[in-house]
Amino acid sequence: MGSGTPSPVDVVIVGTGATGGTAAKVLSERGLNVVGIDRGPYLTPKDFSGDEIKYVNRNFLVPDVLLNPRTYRQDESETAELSAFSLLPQVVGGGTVHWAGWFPRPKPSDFIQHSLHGDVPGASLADWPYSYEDLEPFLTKVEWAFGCAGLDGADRNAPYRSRPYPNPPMPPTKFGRAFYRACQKLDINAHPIPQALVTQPFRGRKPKHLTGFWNLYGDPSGMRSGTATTFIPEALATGNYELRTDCYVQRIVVDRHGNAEGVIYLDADGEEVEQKASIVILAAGAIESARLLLLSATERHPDGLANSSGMLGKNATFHEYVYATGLFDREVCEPFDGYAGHYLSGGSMQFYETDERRGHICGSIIGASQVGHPINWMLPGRPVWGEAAKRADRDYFRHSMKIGMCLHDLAVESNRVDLDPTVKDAWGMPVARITHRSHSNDLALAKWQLAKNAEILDAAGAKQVTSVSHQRCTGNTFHQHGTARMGFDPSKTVLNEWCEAHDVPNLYVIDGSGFPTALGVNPTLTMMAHAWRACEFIADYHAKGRKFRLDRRPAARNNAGGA
Amino acid sequence: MTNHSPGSASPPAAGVNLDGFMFFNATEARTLDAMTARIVPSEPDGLGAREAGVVTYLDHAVAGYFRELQSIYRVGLQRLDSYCLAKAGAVFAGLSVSRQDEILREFDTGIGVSAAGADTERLEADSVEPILTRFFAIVREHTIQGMFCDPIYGGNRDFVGWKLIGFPGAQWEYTEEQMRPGFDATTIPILSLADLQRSRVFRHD
Ligand SMILES: Cc1cc2nc3c(=O)[nH]c(=O)nc-3n(C[C@H](O)[C@H](O)[C@H](O)COP(=O)(O)OP(=O)(O)OC[C@H]3O[C@@H](n4cnc5c(N)ncnc54)[C@H](O)[C@@H]3O)c2cc1C
Repeated sequence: MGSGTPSPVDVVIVGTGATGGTAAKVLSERGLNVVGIDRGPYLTPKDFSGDEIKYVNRNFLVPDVLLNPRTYRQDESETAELSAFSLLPQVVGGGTVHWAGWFPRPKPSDFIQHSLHGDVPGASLADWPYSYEDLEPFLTKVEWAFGCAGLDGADRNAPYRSRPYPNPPMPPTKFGRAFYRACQKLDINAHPIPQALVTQPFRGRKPKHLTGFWNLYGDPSGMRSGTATTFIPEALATGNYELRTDCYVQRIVVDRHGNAEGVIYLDADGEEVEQKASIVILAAGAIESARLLLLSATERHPDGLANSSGMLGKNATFHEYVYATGLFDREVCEPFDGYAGHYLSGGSMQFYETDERRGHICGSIIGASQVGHPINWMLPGRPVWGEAAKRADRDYFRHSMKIGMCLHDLAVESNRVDLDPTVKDAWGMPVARITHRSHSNDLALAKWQLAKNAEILDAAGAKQVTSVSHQRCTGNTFHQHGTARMGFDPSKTVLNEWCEAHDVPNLYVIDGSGFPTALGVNPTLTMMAHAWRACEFIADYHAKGRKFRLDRRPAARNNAGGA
Repeated sequence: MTNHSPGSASPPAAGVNLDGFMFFNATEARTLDAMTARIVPSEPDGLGAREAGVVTYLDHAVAGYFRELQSIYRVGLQRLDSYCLAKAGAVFAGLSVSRQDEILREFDTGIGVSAAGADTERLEADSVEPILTRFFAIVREHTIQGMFCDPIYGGNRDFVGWKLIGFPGAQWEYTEEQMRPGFDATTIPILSLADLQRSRVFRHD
């Protein structure tokens, strides 16, 4: 591992996950000299298995909460308590190593929430500085470079797409078929949820078997798409990308002109190293990127780097996964289903758009799944010990399914990430403190949608249906956004429309931090397209000294060159 | 352990002392054996925590990964026996199973509380019941882990847990025939991680 000060490079990227991996590929393939840094190791398919204890109950992939915790509170009146809130894996590939891989596209309405809904009391909705149409070419690039399976035309309200899905979907599971039949009865438009995996030979990858543990496990087969098995090796193959693993970035260094100069990290041996670069990119996830900016405060930037607006960390949004379960007197899960993506087989976007008759705005994707694996399966209300629990284990495990949703999270300014005033990580750095209370709109949305999900389970023939109610956000989807809102106005936003910090002209944050509002779908496809767009701008314009800004008027924006 | 009353020993249990213990002493292991046998009883099919070797799982886990929970295990076990002695005149393992169930019910919060984040400093300050409530929640959670984990962790011996629920192990592939709709999945042989690691799926040449 390097020591002291290695030679300066064109670009240093903090993080090698969904967005950092995308940046590694796009920038190195365009000839820039890039260093990627991750605090985790580089694990490969041969490291993985379906070991539930290792991946779900212990922290083989995610940060050890004893060393690297977070704190959480609902509002100012509470003292934040230690929490494992939204701990994304700390490993090359980041959250794409062990994700479920739902890979749906956003809808045009996601980008214009303020225009659609105006000033919603208690919320701080905003329009994005670009539109769905602007992002569409990048959504397509990601789908085709990364590998993704879906059924063309199945979602009746799908927005425009310039290319079909690269691969057809997996066949439906048993619980998936139950879901489809019920939706047909209720006239609900149901379809396979697009998933980040390949089902046919694709760009040198051969799906070996149509099974695999998904959500929470690493994939030993290489069938699922993750940046550690696609974009990172492709970046390494260019010869322009150097990967440094087990290196913990502690702060961003700024020169006397206010430009980013590089980053300081501790290498695997605990030695401090400074990596200088012409351009610094943060892709550490929306919580850690915000934390890094806050940790990089200096005399000139006392409230954190890139924070002259005071908005850094604010408007943080996190989806919550909530669900209704159904118990059947027939088997709805085959053992195979656990491996054929137990978090996904059949979903619907029917309830996505606002229908004010429902009593709330916005909507969310829903999806059918089984209840989980032997240790951690979820069936609310089942007995947890004694003879009754044993009977439940035997009789319910394969007789239950659930229909879940990614609960939308309206942006609220007081929901935020800042530095905890007292709690520090094992290296003595303040940890991220999350303050979050769901907007009443989202509580109403959860209630309405879960009742609908229960109705579907009922139509599927469940003899008993139970819903979990949403009370507080636990970070259980690991979807993080909004902590460095992007927009045109430097007094109200942290990043500009290219993900560059308004205050620091060569510092970019390309993960979900920039999202002005959350989506109603899983965010990672959008994040990767967002990162790809920013990186094309960096390589094609910034690095060539031809930076430009977009005009804020939508009409002009649609005609703006290149991106 | 000062409160152990030798007169009340129950017959040696199947799961105890087969492998020896890294962390627990014999008395502690015996109490845990009695507790875990109430959490997943052996009746009526012989597929219970005892047969699965759950105490061995707990022992390995507390000696290693869950080292920060060593204090609450030690103190919890002592307090449980003192509580039982004061209330029922014998240590936990010496009580009848129905009395054991009654005692555990007193400490059951009704929800599977997560055991993460031990707060050992507060142990001494707390009154007996909150500690025992938390201790029971931890033992319950770890018992489920020991029941349904891969046997490599010391529990789920002879696939006792997986047989109970009909889970064939974390297999990575099935044959065409096994994947066909209507195939009786309970006939698929159960495979452990060790089996799979020996198989070709794990060879990446
Ligand atoms: C169990 C699970 C299931 C999921 N399923 C889905 C799904 O189905 N669909 C979907 O869209 N999304 C899903 N997600 C969310 C998805 O993983 C994230 O949205 C995505 O990974 C975020 O990308 P990112 O680039 O912002 O961060 P990450 O992918 O988390 O990458 C960040 C990287 O930065 C590194 N890092 C952080 N701080 C530092 C530092 N200080 N120094 C050095 N390195 C650092 C980390 O180690 C990590 O590798 C899931 C997440 C989890 C945990």
